Amino acid sequence: MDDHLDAFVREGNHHLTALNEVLVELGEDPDSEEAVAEFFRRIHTLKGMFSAMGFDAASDLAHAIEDLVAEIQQDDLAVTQDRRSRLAEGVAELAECLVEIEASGIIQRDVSATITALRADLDASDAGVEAAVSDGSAGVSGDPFGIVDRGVVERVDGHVFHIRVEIGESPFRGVDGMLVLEAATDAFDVLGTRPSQDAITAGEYETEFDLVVASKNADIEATVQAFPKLADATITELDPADTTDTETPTDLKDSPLEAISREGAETGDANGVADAVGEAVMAASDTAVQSVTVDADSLEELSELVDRLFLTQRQRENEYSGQQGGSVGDLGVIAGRLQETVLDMRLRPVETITAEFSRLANGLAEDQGKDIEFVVTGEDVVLDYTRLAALRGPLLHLLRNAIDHGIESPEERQANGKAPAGTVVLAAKRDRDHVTIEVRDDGCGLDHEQLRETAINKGIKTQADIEELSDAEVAELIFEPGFSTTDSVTDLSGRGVGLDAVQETISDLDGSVSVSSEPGAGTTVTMTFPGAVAIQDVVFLECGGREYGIPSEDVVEVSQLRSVETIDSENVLSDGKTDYSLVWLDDALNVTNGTREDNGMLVYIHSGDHQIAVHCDDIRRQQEVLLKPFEKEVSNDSVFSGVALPTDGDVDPMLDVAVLDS
Amino acid sequence: MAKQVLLVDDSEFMRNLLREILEREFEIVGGAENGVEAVEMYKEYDPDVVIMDILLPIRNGIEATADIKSYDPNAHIIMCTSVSQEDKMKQAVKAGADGYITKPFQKPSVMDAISDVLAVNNASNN
Repeated sequence: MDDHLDAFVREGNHHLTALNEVLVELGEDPDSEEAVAEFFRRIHTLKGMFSAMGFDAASDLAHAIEDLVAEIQQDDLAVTQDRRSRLAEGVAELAECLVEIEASGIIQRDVSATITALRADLDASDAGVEAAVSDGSAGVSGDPFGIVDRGVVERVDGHVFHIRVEIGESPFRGVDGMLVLEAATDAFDVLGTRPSQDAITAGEYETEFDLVVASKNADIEATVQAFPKLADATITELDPADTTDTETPTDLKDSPLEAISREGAETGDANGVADAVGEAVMAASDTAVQSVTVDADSLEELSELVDRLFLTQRQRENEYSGQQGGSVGDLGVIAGRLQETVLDMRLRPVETITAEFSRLANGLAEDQGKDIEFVVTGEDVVLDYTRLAALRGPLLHLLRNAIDHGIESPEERQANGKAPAGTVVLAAKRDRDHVTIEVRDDGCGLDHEQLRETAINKGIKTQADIEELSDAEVAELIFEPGFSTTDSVTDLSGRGVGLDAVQETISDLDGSVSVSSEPGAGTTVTMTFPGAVAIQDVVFLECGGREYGIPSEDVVEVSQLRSVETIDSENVLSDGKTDYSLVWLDDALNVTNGTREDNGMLVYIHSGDHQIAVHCDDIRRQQEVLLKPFEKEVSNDSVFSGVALPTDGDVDPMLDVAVLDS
Repeated sequence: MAKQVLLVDDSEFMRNLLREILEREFEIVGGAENGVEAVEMYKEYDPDVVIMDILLPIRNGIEATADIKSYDPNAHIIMCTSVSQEDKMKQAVKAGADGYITKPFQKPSVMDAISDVLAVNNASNN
């Protein structure tokens, strides 16, 4: 019981702190219905907790406080200075009780005087209250979650249920909410929801929402389980009549939840009490903190552990396959969701680092006597936080470059027929499984002749090399170590950090960077990063008795090998719109298979700029798997980009489309 | 007897992919390429489930869904959509869509979506 007692004291203190805060609020705004409602909810929960643990004195005190607050709520009893201090005394007394419980496990103080004072106030108040209480329409929550008034529940002819709906991982929370609400409305009379129906339809809920419904049927389990998009649902029947038989009229407002707690306490069933306290805590948690700050090291450790758990589970699944599939399979689902959750936790919007860029960019432009309009798009694109943090420096460097070297002075721009104000755009975009971030300006562009000269002067390229290079290739030279486009180190772009440093940072982050520029029209630097998803849907191809993976997203079409005539001399296949270069996988992998010209499957792949049709023996399956990239050194000229770890415990290589295409 | 499914997608590849995923467990009654054809084929075959792309030529998937639902309020229609189209998907639900699958789709999610809409059917029949 000690653990339970600890949890009890902790939760109790949590509620008492909140109650004191509400009292302060009521001092500022005595008419706040919200504050009164919160006070009621918390004191009600506390009463249930004390009662469940057998601390009757404290429970009675909480009960007296609750009754007074109930009257304030129902009868618009004013929260006078007097009344507020009476409530505050009651709360202070409860706090003392909790201190004693924590110290000795029992309450020694006498709380009867405080209770009497509270009851006296209660008795002195409006006689109409009695009537309201005795006819049972007290207006206090008739369900443990405060969604629908007791009066509404009582008037229902039939059964009333509270349904807690849990929606799993979903791309469309709003749509899922709509579908569930629609099904619920079709099957039942929906009395109330939390959050509101509009909020549910807008997807504004975490993973669960609550419905209170009326039904003619006593058993709605099957109907609810058939609701679309349901991960799980908990159904509780609400029956206000239950408590009237055993409790005094003023206890009408006691919820079934509390009835459960009592039962637990009376039978001395430790589990019952623990569960009841747990539920009471859960019911009170809706105003809990919505986000917390976590130490980055802990998050890293958590990520690593979860990855290992996931992999271990995969192996287990393989070892036990066919034996205890059920529980091992469930564990797999849990491990998978756990990993997705941790991956999600790591993601932060680009906005996190770009929020301050606008001010910085405008300041830089002003210093330079330039007019710019700075635009950020795709602020909501998410990246792993470690990547984002590392990107701040390079992005600032590129912005400085654009403003310093790209954008011309207003006079120069006008002379060239451009708007006096230049535009600098930072655009983030999710594109298939990649995230790209562009820094774009409409300035003067790169001077390719100047770049050629510099490359020769700095000994980066020879005259002969340079003549071989196109303008586009010359532009990429700006990322070479030691290359700089201006001779003077300016306040802005100098600082000893060149574009080579930018390039190095980006490639450390598994990304790539490229530049394109048109003289007079501007420069665009594009950074590309692999997406944050380590779990991907993969199509497995068989070739020479082994399996190889290709990301499903890249697969455009799958077909039987077409007749040889349609393949022209350059081994190019066309589907009428697009040409695909044909790749014989057995050649590319140096293996033998038997399905060559007359047999086998073609997989049409579109990945980035690459469009290839890969010939293989067969398509095995499509599956969500964990991907692990190879270290850069290994993968440079390898035809494999990493490995896929499917559920059968295999380790299958992932094909690198770019290398296959070359 | 296997439940009957009508596939509606303007891309032959998507229709074929769905067919491959489904044909072991369902009878595919046909594939429609646009919203008008979808309604015509629905009337002809009266399938148990329609899998309908949200973007279609002539009459889009939302309009076709409304058409089918007004012809047969008990039709089961699953929209095929991409994750960026939540607003369109909400319109589709208003038009009567019963579920959705998102592209690129995986076999389990397609199967889940179908059993989801058929389960509603069973529960209301029982």
